[in-house]
Amino acid sequence: MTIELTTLAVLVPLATALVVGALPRSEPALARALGLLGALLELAVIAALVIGFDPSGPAVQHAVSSPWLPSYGVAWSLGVDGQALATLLVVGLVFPLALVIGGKPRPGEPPLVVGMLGLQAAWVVVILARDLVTLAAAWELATVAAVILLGERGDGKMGVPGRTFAARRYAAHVLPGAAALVGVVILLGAAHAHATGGVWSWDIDALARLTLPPATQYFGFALIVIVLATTLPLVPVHSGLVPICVSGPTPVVAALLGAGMPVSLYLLMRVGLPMFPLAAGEWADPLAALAVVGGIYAALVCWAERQPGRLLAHVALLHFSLAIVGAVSGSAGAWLGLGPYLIAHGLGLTMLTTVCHALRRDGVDNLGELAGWAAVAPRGPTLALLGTLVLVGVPGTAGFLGELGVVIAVIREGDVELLRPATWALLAAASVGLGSLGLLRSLWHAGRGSPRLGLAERIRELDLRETSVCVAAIVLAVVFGVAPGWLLTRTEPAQRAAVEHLHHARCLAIEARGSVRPRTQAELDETLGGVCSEPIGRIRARYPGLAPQEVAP
Amino acid sequence: MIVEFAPIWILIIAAVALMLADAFAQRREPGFLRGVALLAVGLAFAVTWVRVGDPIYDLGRFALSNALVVDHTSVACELLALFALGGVVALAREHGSGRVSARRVFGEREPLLLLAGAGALFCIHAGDLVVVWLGVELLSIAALLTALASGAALANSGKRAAMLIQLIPGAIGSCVLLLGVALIYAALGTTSLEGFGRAATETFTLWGGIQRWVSLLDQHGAELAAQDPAMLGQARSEIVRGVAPAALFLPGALLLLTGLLAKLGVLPFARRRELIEEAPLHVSALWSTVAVVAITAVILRVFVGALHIPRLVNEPYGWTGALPTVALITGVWAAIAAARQRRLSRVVALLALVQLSLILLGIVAAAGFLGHIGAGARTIATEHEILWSRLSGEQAYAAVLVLLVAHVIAAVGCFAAIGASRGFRGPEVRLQHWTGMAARRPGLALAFAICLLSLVGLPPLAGFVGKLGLLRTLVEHSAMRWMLVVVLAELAICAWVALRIIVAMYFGDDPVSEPGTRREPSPWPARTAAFAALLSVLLGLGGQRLLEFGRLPAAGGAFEPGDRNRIEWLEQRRASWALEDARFVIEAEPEPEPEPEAEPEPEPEPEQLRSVDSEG
Repeated sequence: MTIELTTLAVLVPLATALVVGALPRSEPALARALGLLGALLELAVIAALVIGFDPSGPAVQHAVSSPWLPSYGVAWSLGVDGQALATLLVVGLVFPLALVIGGKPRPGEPPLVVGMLGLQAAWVVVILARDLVTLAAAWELATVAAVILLGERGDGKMGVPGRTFAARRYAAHVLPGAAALVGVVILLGAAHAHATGGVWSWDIDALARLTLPPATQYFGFALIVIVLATTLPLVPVHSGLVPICVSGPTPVVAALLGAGMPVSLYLLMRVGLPMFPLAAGEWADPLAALAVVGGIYAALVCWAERQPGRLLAHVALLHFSLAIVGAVSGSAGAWLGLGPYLIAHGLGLTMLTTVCHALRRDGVDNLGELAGWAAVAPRGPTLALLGTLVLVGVPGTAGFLGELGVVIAVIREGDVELLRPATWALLAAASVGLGSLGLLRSLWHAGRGSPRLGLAERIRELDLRETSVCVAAIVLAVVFGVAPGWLLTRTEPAQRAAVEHLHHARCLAIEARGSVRPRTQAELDETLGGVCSEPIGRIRARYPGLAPQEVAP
Repeated sequence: MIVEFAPIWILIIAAVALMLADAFAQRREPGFLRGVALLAVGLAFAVTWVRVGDPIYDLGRFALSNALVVDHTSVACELLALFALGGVVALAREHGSGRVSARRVFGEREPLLLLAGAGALFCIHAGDLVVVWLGVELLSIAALLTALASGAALANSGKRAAMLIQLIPGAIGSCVLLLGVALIYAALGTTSLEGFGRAATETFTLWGGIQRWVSLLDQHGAELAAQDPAMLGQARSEIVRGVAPAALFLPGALLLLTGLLAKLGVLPFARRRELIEEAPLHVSALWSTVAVVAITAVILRVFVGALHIPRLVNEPYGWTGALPTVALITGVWAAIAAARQRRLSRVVALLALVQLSLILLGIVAAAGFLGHIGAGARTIATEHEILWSRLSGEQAYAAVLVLLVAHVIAAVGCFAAIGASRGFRGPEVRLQHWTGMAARRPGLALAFAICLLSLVGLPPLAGFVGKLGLLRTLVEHSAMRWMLVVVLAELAICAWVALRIIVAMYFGDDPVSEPGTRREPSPWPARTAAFAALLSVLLGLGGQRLLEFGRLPAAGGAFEPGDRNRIEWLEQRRASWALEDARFVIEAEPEPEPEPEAEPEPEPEPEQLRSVDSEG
C-alpha cells in the first residue's frame, strides 16, 4: 500500500499533533520540539510535492479520492495542481518558523502546539482539496482552530489582558464568513444537480465548468466576499485583525498573518473567481478599490501608529492590498507573481511578528519609548528593518520579484477584468511603498540615539531562537528572490490555464445572461457555437468601458 | 407481535420490577437500580437492533386492533429513542451530598425513566391518535415525576415554582392535543391512522361534493324557497353535512400539531422548556433527546406520512403555513439565548432547541416536496417534476432522521459530560466551573468538545452530515431557500457559543473548579460522554452509514403502513441504492498503477485530462 504525498501532507501534522497531545503538560519544551519536528517534516513533504510537480504532466498530480458521502456526492479528494504550489509552500515555510517564536515553552504548551498543527493540516487540506465540501470542511476546522488558539491563556487572573476580547472579536468576524462558505457550497452543489439533471457533485473542477444564472452568481459571489472580507481582510471589516495582533499568542498571530491571509486569497482564486466569473468580473473594480483604500489607510496608519501590535496588523493589511488587486485582475502574470509575493509576505510578517511580540513581552506599548533601542538590543531593530525590506520588495528578495511581477502584469493584462488596472496597481504599489517608508521611519526613530534611562534593564535582546527564525526567514526570502525559476516554471502553465478558463467562463456567463437555470459550459459551448472561442473580445464587446487594446500574448 | 413490540414490554416490565425492588429492598448498593435499568434498555436496544432494515417491515403493518404500527420508520426511531434513554439513565447523578450515606436513597428515578421511555415508544409505534396522546402523557407525567423524585426538588420555592410553571403549560399542551384528537374524531369518525390520509381526503371530497348544492342555492335560492321549501332544507342540510367534517378536521389537525409542538417546547412554549432545565440534568436530557425523537416520529407519521396532500400541506390551509416561521424564530431565539447563558445545562438545552428548529424545517421541507404535484413545472416535464419532488421529499425525510441521530448522540454526550462534573448538581454547573477542565480531566474535556462541535455541525463529525443534508434540502425547496441565510446565521452563533466553552476548557486558568459537596459521580456519565463522542466521530467519518440508516425509513415514509405502493417503490429504490453502493465500492478501490513500459502516447492537454478524470 502506497500513500500519496498529498495524503502524507495531511497526515504528518495530524500524527504529530496526536503524539504531542499525548504528552503531559509538564513537558512544554518537548511538546514544542516535537511540534517543530513535525512541522519540518511537513515542510519536507511539501517541498517534495512542489519539486516533484511536473508542469508538463497532468493538471492535477498526486491525486487521491475516496468516497466520503457518496449519497450526497461528497468525496475525500485531494490533489495538487500548479495553482496551489506557492500557497502550499507558504504554509509549509511559515509554520515551523511560527512554532519557534514567542515566549519560552511553559506548562500548557501541548494544546497550543496541537492546535497549531491541526490548523496547518486544515489549511493544507484547503489548498489540496479537489472537492468543495472537503475544502469547506477544512476551512471550518481551520476557522474553529484559529479562534480557539487565539483565546489561549486569555481568561483568569494569569491571562493576557485583552486576549479574550480579541479572540471573541475575531470569532464574531470570521464565523459569519465560515457559515457563508457553507452557503456557497450548498448553492454550487444544487447548481450542479440542476445543470446535470440531478447529479450531486462537489468536484471543484466540475463546479468550475458550470455557468450559473446571473442572480445566483451575484448571490454566491456576495457570500464569497463575506467569507473573505474578514480573513483577507478588506476595509472596513478588518478590525478583527488589529486586537489579535496586539494581544494574540505570537505563533498563532504569525500563522494567521503569514499563512492565513495567503490561504484566504487562494480560496478567492480557487472558488470565488472561477465559479462566479460574471460577478467576479463586474465586482473586480470595487474589490480592487476596497483593497487600495485599505492599503492607503494602512499606509497612513504606519506613519502615525506607535503601538507595535497595531502597526503589525496594518503592515499586513498594507502589504496584502497589492495581492488582492493582483488576484482580482485576472491576469496570468499577476497570478504568477503572487507566488513569490506571498512567500515574501509570509516570511516578512513572521519576522515582524517576532520583533513586535518580543517588544510586547518586554512591556513596550509605544515605539516612542524606545529611543536608543539599537544601542541596547541591536538585533531587534535590525531584524525589523530587514523584515520590512523583505516586505517592501528590496531587489534580491522574493518580494521584489513578486511585487514587480504583479504590478507590471496588472497594468499590462488586467484590463479584461478591471476598468482601471493601472490606477489600482500603481496606487496599491505606492501605498505599500509609502507605508513601508513610514514603518522604516518609526523603526529608525526608535533605534537611533542614546538609550533612555532604564531602557537597558527593560528591553531584552532577542534570544537565539528568535534570531535564528528571523535569519532563516531572510535567507529563504533571498533564496526565493535569487532563484525563483524552479517555482515559477512549475506554476506558470496552471496559472495561464486558470486565467484562460476564467475568461472563457466569464464570456459564457455573459452570453447566457438570460438563462434561468445553471448549465454546463460544454452544453453552452455547443449551444452557442464558437462564440466564446475568443472570449476576451466578447467580454470587451459586452463592457465597452474596458480598454480596447488586445491583451498581450 | 411479541417481538415487534418487545422493547415496550421490556421497559414496562423492568419499570415495575424496579419499583417492587425499590419498595421491598432493605439495603442496596448505589447504582444498583441504574445497572438493572441499563440492562433492560440494553436488551430492548438489542431486540430492536436486529430488526433494523429487515425486509419484513417493508410494507409496514398495524397491530393490536390498529393501536400500534410497525415499519422501518418506527424501528429506526425506536432504536434512536432507546439509545437516548440508555444515555439518560446512564448520565443521571447519584443523589445526595458526599457526606451523606448512600444506604437509602430515592429509587423512583430509574423506573420513572423507563416508563417515560415506554411512553416514547408508544408514540413512535402509535397507530392511533389516542395512543399518541397516551404515549405523550405517559412520557410527560413520568418526566415530571422524575423531576419531583430528585430529593431536594420541593425544598425551595424557586424549584416549586419551576415545577408548577412546567406543569401548567404542559397540561395546557395536553388539553390542546386531546382537543385536536377529539375534533379529528368528530370529523373522520375514527382516530386510527390506518387510512388516515384517505379519510382526510374524503372530508374534502365531501366538501367538493356539496358545491353543486351551493351553486344551486346561489343561483336559484329565492326561487327554491318559494317553490320547494323541502328541497331548500335538504340543500342546507347537505351543505352542513359536507362542510362540517372539513371544518372540524382542519382546526383539529392544527390543534394536534400545536399540542405536539408545545410538548416539544418551541416558542411560545420555550420558556417552559427553559424552566425544565431547572430540573435535574437527566430530565433536561430526557426532554431534549427521548421526547424529541418520540414527537418527531409522530409528526413524521401523521403529518408527513399521511397528510402530505398538497392543499393540506401548503398555504393557505396547510399545516406547514406558520411552522417554518415558528421554527426559525425559535432557532434564532435559542441561539441568542445560548450566547448569553452561562449555565452549561441550559446552554446545551438551548443548542438542542436550535437543532430541533432545524429538524422542524426539514419536516416542513419533506412534506412540501411530497405534497408537490408538479403544478407550475417550468423547466422539466410534469411527470419528471413529480418524480423529482418525491425523491427530494425522501431525501428531506432522510435528512431529518440523520439530523435526529446526530442530535441525539451529541446532546446525550453533552449532558453526560456535564453530569460527570464533580461538585455542583447538573443544573448549577456553570462555564467557570469548567475553566481549565482540559488540564484536570482531558478525556472528559475532549468528549465534551467533540459533542458540542457535533451539535453545532462542525465537520467531520456526525452533526455535519445531518446539517449538510438539511441545507441541501432547504436549497432545493424554492420556497425555503431564503431560510438558508437565517439557518447559517443561527449555526454561526451556536459555533461561537461552543467555541467559547472550548476555549475556556483548554486555555482557561485552573480556577475554582467544580466546588460543592455533591457526591463523586459514578463513572457512567463520563463513559457515556466518551461513547457519544466516539460515535460522533465515527458516524461523521463514516457518514455514508448514517445516510444508509436513514434512507430506508425515508423511502417508505411517504406511504401509510400497509400501502402496497410502498413495496413497489422500495424495490425501485433498492435497485438504485445498489447502483449507488456499487459506485461507492468502485470509487473506493484504488486506481491501477499505469504500466511503466507502456508505449508513450501523445500527451493530452491538461484540460482534457481534467475532463476525463472528472467524468470517470
